[in-house]
Amino acid sequence: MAWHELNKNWHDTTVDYCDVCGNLLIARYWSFIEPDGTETRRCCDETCERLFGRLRRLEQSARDS
Amino acid sequence: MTGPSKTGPAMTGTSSPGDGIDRVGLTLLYKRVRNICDEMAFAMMRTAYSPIFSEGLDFSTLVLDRRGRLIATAGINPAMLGASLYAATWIIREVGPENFAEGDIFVHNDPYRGGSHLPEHMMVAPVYSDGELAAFVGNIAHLAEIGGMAPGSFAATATDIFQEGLRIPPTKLFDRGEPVQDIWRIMLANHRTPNNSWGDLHAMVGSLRVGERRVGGLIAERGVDGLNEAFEQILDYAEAYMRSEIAALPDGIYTGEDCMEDDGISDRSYWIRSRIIVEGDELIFDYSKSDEQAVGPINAPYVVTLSASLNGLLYVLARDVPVNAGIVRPVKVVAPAGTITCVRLPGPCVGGQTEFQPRIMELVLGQILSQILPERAAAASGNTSLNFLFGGVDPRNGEYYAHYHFEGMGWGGRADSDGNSAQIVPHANCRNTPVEIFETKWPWVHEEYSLNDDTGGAGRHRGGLGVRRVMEVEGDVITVSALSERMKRSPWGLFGGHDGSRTALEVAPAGSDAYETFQDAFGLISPSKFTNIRLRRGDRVRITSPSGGGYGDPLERDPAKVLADVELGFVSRVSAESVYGVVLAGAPDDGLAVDEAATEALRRSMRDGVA
Repeated sequence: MAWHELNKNWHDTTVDYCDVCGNLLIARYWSFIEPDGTETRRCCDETCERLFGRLRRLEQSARDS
Repeated sequence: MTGPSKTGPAMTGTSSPGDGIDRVGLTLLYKRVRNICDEMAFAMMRTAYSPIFSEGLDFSTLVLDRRGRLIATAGINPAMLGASLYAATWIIREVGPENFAEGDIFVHNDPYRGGSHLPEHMMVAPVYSDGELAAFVGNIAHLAEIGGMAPGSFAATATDIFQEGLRIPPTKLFDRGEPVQDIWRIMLANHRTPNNSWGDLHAMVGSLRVGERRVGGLIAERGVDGLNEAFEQILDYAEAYMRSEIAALPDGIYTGEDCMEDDGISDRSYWIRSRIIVEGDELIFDYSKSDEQAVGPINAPYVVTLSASLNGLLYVLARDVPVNAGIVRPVKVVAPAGTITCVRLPGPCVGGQTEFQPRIMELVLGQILSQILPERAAAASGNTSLNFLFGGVDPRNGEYYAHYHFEGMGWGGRADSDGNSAQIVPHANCRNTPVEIFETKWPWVHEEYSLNDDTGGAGRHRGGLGVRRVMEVEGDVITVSALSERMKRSPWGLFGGHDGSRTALEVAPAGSDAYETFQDAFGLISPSKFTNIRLRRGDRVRITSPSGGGYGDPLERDPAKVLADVELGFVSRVSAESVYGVVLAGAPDDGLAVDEAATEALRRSMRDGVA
């Protein structure tokens, strides 16, 4: 878990999105490794993680019910 | 449940969040910053060339702290809230604060960098004090013409953003007070009406210069650190205020859905599915289940979905909260990239700001939050900006002209009043362009501009009326386009209120009174979204805007209000009886009166299903 620079060339016009909320990534992203080993890129740090955890719990409880 | 207070804690109150701060001083400071935004707005309105600025007020002005966080905005155009929160931050992070200098101005209109749609340009200028970066001032404004495939730069049949106009990443427009001429040349060469753009862009520049001077005055009084500490407290206060309002809502998951009728490219509709999750003092808007992004330009960039969600919330909660970056801390918006709620490059999105945003906003405040705050909800408005674009060569002076016109319509009835009539869609607070301005500026002659009587959705509180505008082409050729909604699905009523009426766009050829829809006349895929139809001298266009839905059972409407509606022509005598169950006695010329006994009997039989 750490901030990473996007490190784009000045002529790069691609766009990057937060894997959690969809907001655009500006200049850097917060990287987090999921339990299954995949990396997610986020626009903010702990706040995004809390949000992601909450949505996952809701999905799980919806499946359980 | 105990509902949140209507006004929330005052910044000067003893129970305000954030103990230990000078609340009186903070309130005065915030009001001054708001006034700076207002003064910047007046400067822009009074110096612009285009009616979309001077009459339509389609702009916003901002004061930001030295990190680019929004501190205050003029209360003009809430539709720009999302961009106000993110676009300036984007410029500052991408450029780097160390690369700004006194007198610089940066411009940017990129929806893929925090903007709302291409026509809305943001300018940001740093404010320095003895060489130290102290704050930023900014504004966002809708330029009437920025190139692209259709005059007015609202291409309803665009299939990628490159067809929508000139896209500008954060770019230096003034370098230490001097215009960067190469950038100006590129921009103006790509606009159909460069003279207007020149004037409007300079109105934005002038507005920033006003803001720089006024914020400079604040710095002189408080110092750079003192001012930014106070800004931090204003942000904290707004956050605490929002948290207290959200905490008063019952925890739970509340859902709703609505759709965009079509995208201008095919006939299919696109669904927006929203759930609001309230948990403690935080709230999540989740749009994960929405349809994939459309081919046509009805998609929303993330900030538009954010704006819509926040505006829907702010209509019913925390209505006195300082609108700044603090309010978004306890509110999260989940809009996955690739859905209609968060378009992926290079998807088109010019209509997201004007059509998609009000759809979400009213979904939130009318359909979803009405489940827990019925007394603050509203039925649907006409819920389209009804964008009508046109351009061509003006025969009166030989110059190219273009205009982006939005139309007033009816708002939805609400718990304590009828909906407003002939007003621009609620998410934007803009104003209509007067007929006199229309005819002075462009080759149209108006035959009619009137309220569309007897169309407001019936209800205990009636929906507002839409308008009907009929105008004739006065030039040899004029190219028109449109991007609107509510032609297939009516604005919905709430709590037993009836639906409002729908949009219509019709045309009659020169010398004929036979109107038909643009879709029928020109064989279009969509009735509400089309691009570059060429009309000839004498052709007439009839624009009928939708009315608002009603709130509550029409049989509960005060008969005296129904009588007043009939006398004003808003409701017909026939509808008064058949819809509202109000029997009127007398003749219009002699004065009407409510026949109370007959009304009571008729309403009783209507409730029983006899009439």
